[in-house]
Amino acid sequence: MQRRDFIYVSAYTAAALALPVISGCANQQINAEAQPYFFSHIADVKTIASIGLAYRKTHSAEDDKDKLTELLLANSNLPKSSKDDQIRSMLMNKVENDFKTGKMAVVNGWVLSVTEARQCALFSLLHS
Amino acid sequence: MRPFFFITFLNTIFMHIDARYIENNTLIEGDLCIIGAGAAGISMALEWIDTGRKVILLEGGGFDYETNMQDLYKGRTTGQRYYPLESARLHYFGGTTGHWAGFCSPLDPIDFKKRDWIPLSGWPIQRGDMDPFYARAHKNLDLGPYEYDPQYYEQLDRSLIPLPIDQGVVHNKMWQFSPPTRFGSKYKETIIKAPNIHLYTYANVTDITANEHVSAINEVTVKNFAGKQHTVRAKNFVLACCAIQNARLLLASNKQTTNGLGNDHDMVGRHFMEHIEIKSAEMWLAKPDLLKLYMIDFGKTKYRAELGISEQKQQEYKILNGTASLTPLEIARKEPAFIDIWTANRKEREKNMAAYGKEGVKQPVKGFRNFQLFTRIEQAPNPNSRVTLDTETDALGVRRSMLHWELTPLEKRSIRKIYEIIGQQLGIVSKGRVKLMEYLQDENDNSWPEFTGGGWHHMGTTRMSEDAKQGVVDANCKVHGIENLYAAGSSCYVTAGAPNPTLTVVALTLRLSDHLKKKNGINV
Repeated sequence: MQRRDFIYVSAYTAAALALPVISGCANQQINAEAQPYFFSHIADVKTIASIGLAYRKTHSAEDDKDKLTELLLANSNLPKSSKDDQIRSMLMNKVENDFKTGKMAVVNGWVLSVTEARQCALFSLLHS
Repeated sequence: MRPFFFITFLNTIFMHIDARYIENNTLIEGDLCIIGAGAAGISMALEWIDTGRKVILLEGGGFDYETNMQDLYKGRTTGQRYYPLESARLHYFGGTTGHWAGFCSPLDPIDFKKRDWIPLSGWPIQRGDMDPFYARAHKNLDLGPYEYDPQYYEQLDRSLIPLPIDQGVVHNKMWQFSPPTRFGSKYKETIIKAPNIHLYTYANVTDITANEHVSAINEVTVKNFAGKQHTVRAKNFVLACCAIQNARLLLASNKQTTNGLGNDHDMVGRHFMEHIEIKSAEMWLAKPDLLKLYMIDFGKTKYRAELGISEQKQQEYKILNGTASLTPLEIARKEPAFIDIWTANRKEREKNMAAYGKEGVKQPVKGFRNFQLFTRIEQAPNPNSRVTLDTETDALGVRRSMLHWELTPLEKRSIRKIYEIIGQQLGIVSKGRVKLMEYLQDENDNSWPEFTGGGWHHMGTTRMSEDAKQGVVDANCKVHGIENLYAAGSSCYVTAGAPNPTLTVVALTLRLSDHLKKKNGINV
């Protein structure tokens, strides 16, 4: 997956915020697990990373790449060979289901699903 | 002809009497004495036109804003930061309708109910009791039909598209907008021309005198800056001076009972309530949206929706009733908090308010992607939030009011929960996300930010209860223990709900009017 597929930066924050991230992540593959897909249509990379960091601080038991990946993929029944778009689709459903079941976290003021908060956390670990 | 006699002559043609120009110590007598000519007092007087009863309508001021009249409303405030008291109410014919914004919506059914998570909640009347009076009040306020079902408006205008969220959780609470009706200009002629309504201007009630056993009111004393003092006697008296002044007058009338009238159980002035009006959160959408149903263009919009929380969810989360209004973030970020710009200086205040909301942000064709969520929420009845008398007196010798506005942790928890619920619903439908403002982020922090403000809505100081130990007036707005003294308006509120109070003030007044008419053998 190309970097351009990832963070959608809203029009008037693009100029200010996108450049440092693009340069920092150039030619880098981003795991689907670390992409809060819907939220990335709303928040910029800096915000996502900062949410991820804050989540890790308050959930120290999850402050680990493998642990977060395991939690994100738990109960997914996806084979290990799954492609990014299959993982993304599964996680999007999981996010929606989190909201339906009240599995939410307020991080830096954002009312998020726990799944997308974990995705932010993983993103911040992978791109710190 | 000398001015004095000329004015006296005019007074006999038109039933308006300037109390500065009648003989000192005049005895004025009537069937019904209404103290205060604002939304409540004027609505009451209008109801009594052509009833064959002599109605005395007493207004402390004249027909226009006067600084020395406003000064009578000055008072100290403690506790939660508040607006200068002399600027929050207008002291002339028409009262505070002279500067209100016209926001109208009825209280919700839940507002009248006993809610076990809100101490002292529960009115002795229910929403169904109020509906006919709400419908009548619409006429006084130049509103549309008594219709608050959002679907009604969505059918009227197909461009009013609601957010696609579960209405059983977050519903669209409708508001209608009065032009806004200025009672002073709209009803002046009608009142003055009514043969049985005797309007006295510059007639400030400074004292109420009861009978020997303090079981009925005999008379009230009125004074003005011309040095005149008069006495008004009537069969029934209605306090319609707004929540702070109603309490002040009862407390200050303490020559027969130390605690003041109607205050055997130390309830007068307690449970002062405001609507907390505060910027609270941001709503970020994945795609731009016009959200026209929720937008307001002051002076043009006739109705709009705010986001409210369902009765079931309020019960589940044990929260207060409040709503969230939406403003494009680009505009809202430029708007200062009301509490910072509503100053004591009238010219400065008017300049600030005239500039408010006119930042000239051009609306994108497809709408906006982010909105500010602004809360209007009831505060829980709190006996420590109260109006008392200060030691200082005003220019007419009445002790000034002192307001201690106090909030509780329930208010803050409720605001936070409201936005979590809205955030959850937007998440379920993948419409957007909500971000709480910093002051709401720590759930253990019960403090309030500096920009916390109220809606200039004063309520609850003569609260309604069938139990004299729990309230000042009964379900008919009669002061407990005093057979001919009534309170009209928002001082009788038990809880505040989310809506701006004017519609309910007028509706409650019409209900009281019907009660008094029946009591006096007049058909309603």
